[in-house]
Amino acid sequence: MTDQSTRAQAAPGDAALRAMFAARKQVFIDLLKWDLPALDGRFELDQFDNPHARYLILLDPDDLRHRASARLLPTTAPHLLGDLYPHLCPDGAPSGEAVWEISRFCLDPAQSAAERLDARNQLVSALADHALHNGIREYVGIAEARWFAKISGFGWSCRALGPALPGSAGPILAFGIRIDADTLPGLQRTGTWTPLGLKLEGGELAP
Amino acid sequence: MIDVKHFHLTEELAHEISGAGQQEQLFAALANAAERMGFDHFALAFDRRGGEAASMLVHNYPEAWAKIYIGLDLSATDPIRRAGERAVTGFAWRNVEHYIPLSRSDRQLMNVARASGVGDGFTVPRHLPGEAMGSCSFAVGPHTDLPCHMLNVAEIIGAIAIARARDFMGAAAPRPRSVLTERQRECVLWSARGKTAGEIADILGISQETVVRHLKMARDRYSVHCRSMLILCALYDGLIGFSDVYDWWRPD
Repeated sequence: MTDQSTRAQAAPGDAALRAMFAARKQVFIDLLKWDLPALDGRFELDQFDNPHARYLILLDPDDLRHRASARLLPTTAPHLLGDLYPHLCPDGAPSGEAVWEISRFCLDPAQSAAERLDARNQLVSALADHALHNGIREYVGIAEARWFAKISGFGWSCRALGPALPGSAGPILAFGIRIDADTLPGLQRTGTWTPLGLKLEGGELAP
Repeated sequence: MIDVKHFHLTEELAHEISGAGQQEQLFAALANAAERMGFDHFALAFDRRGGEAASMLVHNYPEAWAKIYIGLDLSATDPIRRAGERAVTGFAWRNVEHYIPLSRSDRQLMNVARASGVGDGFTVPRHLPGEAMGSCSFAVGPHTDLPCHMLNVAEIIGAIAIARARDFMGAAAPRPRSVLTERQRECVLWSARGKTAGEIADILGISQETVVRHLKMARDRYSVHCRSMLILCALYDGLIGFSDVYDWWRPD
């Protein structure tokens, strides 16, 4: 293939992005049966996958397989809680420079239960670390009630921002996670904190 | 009313594009043309089939969209390219449903494009069945309207850009002589019109065994194993034409 603008193909982060979008299709469409269209039958992307988004992607260091990933959106730009689910926050959705939204928290299905747990803990640790290094003081997000029960037990300061309301696949609610000096000790206390063994790629669609 | 300024602009841009000696010059000429016509981006795609397949894509899409569209190799399922196989002139993307039905995935692709900085566009298609598919698109950002007064200019410039791309890529040389004998060709033609070997035998006044033998030898000459592939090969080679066949099976 001749391609005049080869930058897009040569950029190293692109393989990781590609693997993440494919894993998101497998997890959210195939496994969790979310009602989302797939692109080319292979990838899950929506309008929030745009130049504002940042991605934390964990890859297997040996074969660069996708293990886990999450999307971060600034709450100063369009995001799910502010634009699609504001009714989940009766007091208004938190927003600002220091508030980022976590969405598409994705654990690759092609790994054992132990590997999944390890990847999950590394991704949670990487999220906390990313916030501490980038001036993020609060994460917000939307979760199914069952998943919220897990998130709030990780050891960080996590609270519901409103009542659980019916979603397309069970009750959902908005949550906020405060990130401060107590976050890492909290994650350590519960054993969630896991130093990075996987390869972390910070993906972005922005130039 | 004919705008003389548009005529001069068309001539100038066409001259620059058809004179581009390398892909870099073509890129620069198209970027300039897009800007002069009031568009933000362009993309010139040319896929050669037949003989050795090869593709060319020259574009200045926003990087986020390039990462998605090219990085995820989504062009094969792009609804705009599909519509291009059914359009005789350029068309605005917002009218794509005049040409093909859109699936949810198609709409999502267009939503994602919009979020990554590509809103509406105007695509000039050229489809040479069996040889190539070319398209030249001029696009605007999500908050900009298409420069409607420039679409006729874009139509001509796009066509000239596709022709230039074909010059770069080369076209498979037409076969100097038919792969099939005239009798074999006739059998394939009637076969494409939906006739059985027995019916073809009656039409041509030869035996059914002879028809079967002609079709077998025709398959051997194209190294294909079934009648439908044989028909496609003859169509793509231009030994039979779509219009030769169409009236015989056109649904009511």
